[in-house]
Amino acid sequence: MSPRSEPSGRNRSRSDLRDWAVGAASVAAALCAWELLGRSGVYPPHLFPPPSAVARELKSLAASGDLLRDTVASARRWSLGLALGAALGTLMGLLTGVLLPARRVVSPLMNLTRAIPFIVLLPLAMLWFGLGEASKIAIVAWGVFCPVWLSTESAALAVEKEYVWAARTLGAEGWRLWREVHWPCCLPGVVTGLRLAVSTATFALAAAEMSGAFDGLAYRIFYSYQMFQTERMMAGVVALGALAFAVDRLFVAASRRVLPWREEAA
Amino acid sequence: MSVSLRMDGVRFSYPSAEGDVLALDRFDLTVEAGEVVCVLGPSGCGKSTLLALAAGLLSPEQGAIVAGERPVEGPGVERALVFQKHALFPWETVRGNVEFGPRVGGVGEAERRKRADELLSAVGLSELDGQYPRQLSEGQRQRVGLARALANEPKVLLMDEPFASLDALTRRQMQALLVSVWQARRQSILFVTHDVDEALALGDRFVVLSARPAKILLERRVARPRDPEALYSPETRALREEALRALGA
Repeated sequence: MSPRSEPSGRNRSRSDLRDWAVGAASVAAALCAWELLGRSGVYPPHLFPPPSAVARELKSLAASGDLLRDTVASARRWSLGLALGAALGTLMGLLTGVLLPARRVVSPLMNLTRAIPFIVLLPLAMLWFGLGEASKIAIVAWGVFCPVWLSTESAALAVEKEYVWAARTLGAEGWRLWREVHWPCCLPGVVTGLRLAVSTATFALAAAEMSGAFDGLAYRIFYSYQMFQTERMMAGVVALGALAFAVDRLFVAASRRVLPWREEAA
Repeated sequence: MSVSLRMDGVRFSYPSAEGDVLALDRFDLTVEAGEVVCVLGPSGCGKSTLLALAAGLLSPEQGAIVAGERPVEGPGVERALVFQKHALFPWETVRGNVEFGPRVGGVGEAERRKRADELLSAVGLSELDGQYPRQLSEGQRQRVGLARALANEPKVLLMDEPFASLDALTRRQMQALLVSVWQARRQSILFVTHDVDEALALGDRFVVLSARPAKILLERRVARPRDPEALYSPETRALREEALRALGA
């Protein structure tokens, strides 16, 4: 008997390569179309700058050091908020997923509060935590907390009885059972929640930086808009998009390492 | 050294949408030390419930379950359960699964490794010890399930149709493997199956259960030794007929 046959490595990498090439071609085609449309003069260039102009602007932002400063400021808020929200969300999910009384007490309250779009909590966060970093981190953390909590909770609720039974007959009870069975069963849920949270975090970050910040990529976009610097605004959009995309890819790669036993992690 | 397993006047019911279902009532069954007892019965007659009770995962409403001299009050490592759907931990490798019991039981790393090496070689999976369950065939998973159960060196093996999902050839191989395991250690085995030939090939004794609440309809001894020819002897054929009649086939 041999392990179940899987598509051979070479075939898979060839089809991966093809998918990648198709994706790259479509992005390139979109850029070309944008460039042509921008140069055609159908729209005034100050409203619709072509990608070449945006790239020039990006380069000058990088040269002045603004780009690095903004990226660092955004990344800091983003990662602190994400870490805080993810830690609290995981804890809460485990609590309400494992302990029935905790779920009875906490879930109605949490479901009510999470129904409120977190953007409208922004003014309140600024009142409570001030105009500095704390309010921005808090709003990112809140945006992250909810998806991680829900996804961890549903994983904790779905732990298969057979695994628990197997572990108990093998001698695991109490804390050990929890650590050896419930936690690994919940981990995919935590990862799924985190992946959702990564995009909510970017969203929350953008909202927070657009209302009362002095640096950050979303701040740069909003400020450039007010100054009517369309090229700079688009440069900021591109930088923020690239950052979010890179983080998502990084996250997928990391979750494959954390969950090597999953068919397709995340 | 093995121990006996005794169920005396056991009653158990479980809740369902249509009210409580009585699975077992005044149920008696004994597996002597080192004996292999096969349990045959229609689907849903409470065979799995029987094993969960013996494992200590469920508690009887009435009656007693005793392993050796000690009443069963919960799961214990001297009684190992092998599942129909293997129930391997998907997050552990083959080796991680086999070492699970000794690890949570505090067995040292060197001893753990040694035990796993021996068991993996006994079930013919030494090469695959770093694979995850999803990478294995169904037969290989079932072998790991058996090795995992044996790693705690149990005195009683509780087996819930462990070979039901395997193809005929693999099932024969697994039965032979179980017999060699049993010959080496002489565990007491309570083996649930719906396959009469399997019961005849493995058991010192078999019982046929009725539909819920399960009662023993038929109880017969099967002579050893068990060579392949013996399966077609007139005595065995008579037993097979009897068992099939009791099952209503």
